Amino acid sequence: MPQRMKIIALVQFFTWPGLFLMWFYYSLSVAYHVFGATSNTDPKFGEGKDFAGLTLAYYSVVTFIFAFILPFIADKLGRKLTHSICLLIGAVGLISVAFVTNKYMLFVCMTGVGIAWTSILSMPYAMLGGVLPRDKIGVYMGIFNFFIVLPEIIASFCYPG
Amino acid sequence: MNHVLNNNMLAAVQSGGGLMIIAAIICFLFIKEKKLGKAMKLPLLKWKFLNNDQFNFSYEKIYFLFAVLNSCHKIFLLKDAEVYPSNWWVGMKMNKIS
Repeated sequence: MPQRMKIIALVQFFTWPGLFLMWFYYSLSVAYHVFGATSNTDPKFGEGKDFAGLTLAYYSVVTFIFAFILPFIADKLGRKLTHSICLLIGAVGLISVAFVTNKYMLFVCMTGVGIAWTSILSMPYAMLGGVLPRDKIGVYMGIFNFFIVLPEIIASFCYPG
Repeated sequence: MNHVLNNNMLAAVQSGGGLMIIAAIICFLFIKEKKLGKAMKLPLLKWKFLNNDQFNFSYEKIYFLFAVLNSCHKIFLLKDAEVYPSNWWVGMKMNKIS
């Protein structure tokens, strides 16, 4: 395995559990924490989950728009710096969910996640593409994707519902 | 009890953010990038996908497009499963067959 692939795999290993935990717990957190639901039969619970779904869709809109800007940023800053910054912005977005008091602030949080998501979907592969031997690119890409799945399995064991 | 549950979920989301910070630090410190490439240079219309001579270039552009398309299909997921593009496509095919 090329050296750079090992490092990017490690980056993926820490990135994907973050997303996995968000997909699992974000909607529930919004329902309980932001909307103040007291149980899953509370009407506020459904309201909260619906609104969380809306903000999750919104981050895809951010991703869509940012995907057109990202190549220019990557050209200016370099891929690793671009990816690092995008991940940091996403991390701030996720961490700031705990400090949200107004539901509309969730859109700000999800803007960060959307930016990170754009980079997560493209930058690791862009960084990896140049270092893989062409005749084994499929094999290495397959192995590389282990590092998306494995941390998610580990995360699902560590954070039981 | 509910308070504990709420805090645990928030902590999980926050720890997700923490893990992403670790990923960002590893990425920044340990990946060596020799020079800033122009591999992702636009214009979009001149891209030559799967051109073997430019395979590396094409590869990252495909992933860039993947980011766009991935977000598109998630936007469609907003309402309900019926507007999911693949379902729409399957539905269209089925109508043709029938």
